[in-house]
Amino acid sequence: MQADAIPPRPQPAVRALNCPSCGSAVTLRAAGYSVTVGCPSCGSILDVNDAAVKLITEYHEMAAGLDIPLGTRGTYDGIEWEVIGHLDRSIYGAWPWEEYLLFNPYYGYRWLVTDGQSWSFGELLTMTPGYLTYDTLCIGDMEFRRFFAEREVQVDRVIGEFYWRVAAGERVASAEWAGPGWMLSRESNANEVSWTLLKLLTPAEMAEFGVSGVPRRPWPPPPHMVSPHRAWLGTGLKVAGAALGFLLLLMVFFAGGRWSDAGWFPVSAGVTGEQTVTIGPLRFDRPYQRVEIRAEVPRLENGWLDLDYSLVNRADQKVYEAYGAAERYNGVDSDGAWSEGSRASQVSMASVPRGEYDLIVEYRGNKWDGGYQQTFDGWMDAGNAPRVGILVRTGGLYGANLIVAAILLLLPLLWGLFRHVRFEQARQGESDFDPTGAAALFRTSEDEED
Amino acid sequence: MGRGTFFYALWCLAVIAGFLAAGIFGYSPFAEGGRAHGGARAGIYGPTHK
Repeated sequence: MQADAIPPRPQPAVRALNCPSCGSAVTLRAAGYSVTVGCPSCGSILDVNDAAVKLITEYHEMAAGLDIPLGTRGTYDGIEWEVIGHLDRSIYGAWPWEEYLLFNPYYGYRWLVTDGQSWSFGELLTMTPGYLTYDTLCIGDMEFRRFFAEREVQVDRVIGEFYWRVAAGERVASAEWAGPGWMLSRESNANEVSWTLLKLLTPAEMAEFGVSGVPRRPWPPPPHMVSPHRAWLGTGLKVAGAALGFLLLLMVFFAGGRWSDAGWFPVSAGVTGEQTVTIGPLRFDRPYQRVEIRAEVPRLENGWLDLDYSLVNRADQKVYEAYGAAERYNGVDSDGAWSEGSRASQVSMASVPRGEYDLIVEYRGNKWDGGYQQTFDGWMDAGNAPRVGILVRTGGLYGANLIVAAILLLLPLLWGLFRHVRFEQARQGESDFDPTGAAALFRTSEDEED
Repeated sequence: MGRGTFFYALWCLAVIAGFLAAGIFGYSPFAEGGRAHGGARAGIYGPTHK
């Protein structure tokens, strides 16, 4: 059995008429759908529901130059739309914005809405959004957070044709919710509630309607504008993570070699002056290397050992120097026993060239006698046989270099985060409700009072 | 890839290259020792406990 064919939707006819007020020709572009039309010459509102056109509101003033003249056609998302009406709206004369009514005989009506900086494409919804929380609405996967509280808005001026009897002074209650790239508007009066979904348009999309000079980044940002820094931050964090991972791999790959024991040397009992030992030759094979020297003083207690190192190149007598000290203390006070310091000292020399070297170590043992209730202060006594062991190794990367590199990697991200927070604070600063997310960061008590 | 991400990736490569070059030359601005240039050292000894 063949189903009944669906009758085709009637095509709107273009109808020409004359304004009863000024006599100018008025073209009705959606005849059969539109119930009112504004005269583009004098702005008078005409009732076109009857065969005899009636004058509803007469305006003897020139229709202001619109950003998009009525009759302009533009393509959005592959569909051609014709601009047939224009509304000036405001909140009792303040915070004005404009709305253009678009028409396509196959797709019906849509809106272009602008606050003078940004433009949005609006579509009347045939469904009611759901509530996720008391301040969050949803349509499918799209979420919208409350942005403007409900207030009364009015129509200030009407030009063109509309599908309802609109006139200057018409008032409705309006509230808005904003999501990334989208905005949800609810308008209600005693008879109906309507929801409109608005998508933020790009300058290129508005150029399709002949509007140029639309700012790429309007300031303050419109409620539904996505922070241009957010996506960059997300990708940047991944890039930074990969870079840091690579640096850690380099740390492992270039890890230092094994310590080689260069010798153990006695520390003179008593304070008798500096002692000197020469260790060598030490052979370094890489063009340049980090050389680490470690001193271990097993008997050290309540004293310190000064260590002067000089690496002398046997070929050219160039000297590389470093200084270290092993310090170790302990004692007892009112809080109990304490100790600090280490019985070992480690230093490194940077960029030592290839060659054969002698390591000259000048060292001097010292006793600390400023303690109170010391448990032990005789580490240099002959009975303890105090001594110092010297160990040497080459290679390895500096941990401090890794920290510097990490800071350099993160600096641009911190700058991006700062700009993202600034953007969100400016965007949500327009809202009637408390900021959330990044905009809630770094708020002062004065901000919270506002 | 956005322009910002591209430039940030370039920045990361430059940082890695600098880190690698410092590693190859065994260099660090924070090394305790290096080529001798004269000068005297000074130090304070003793525990810092209280």
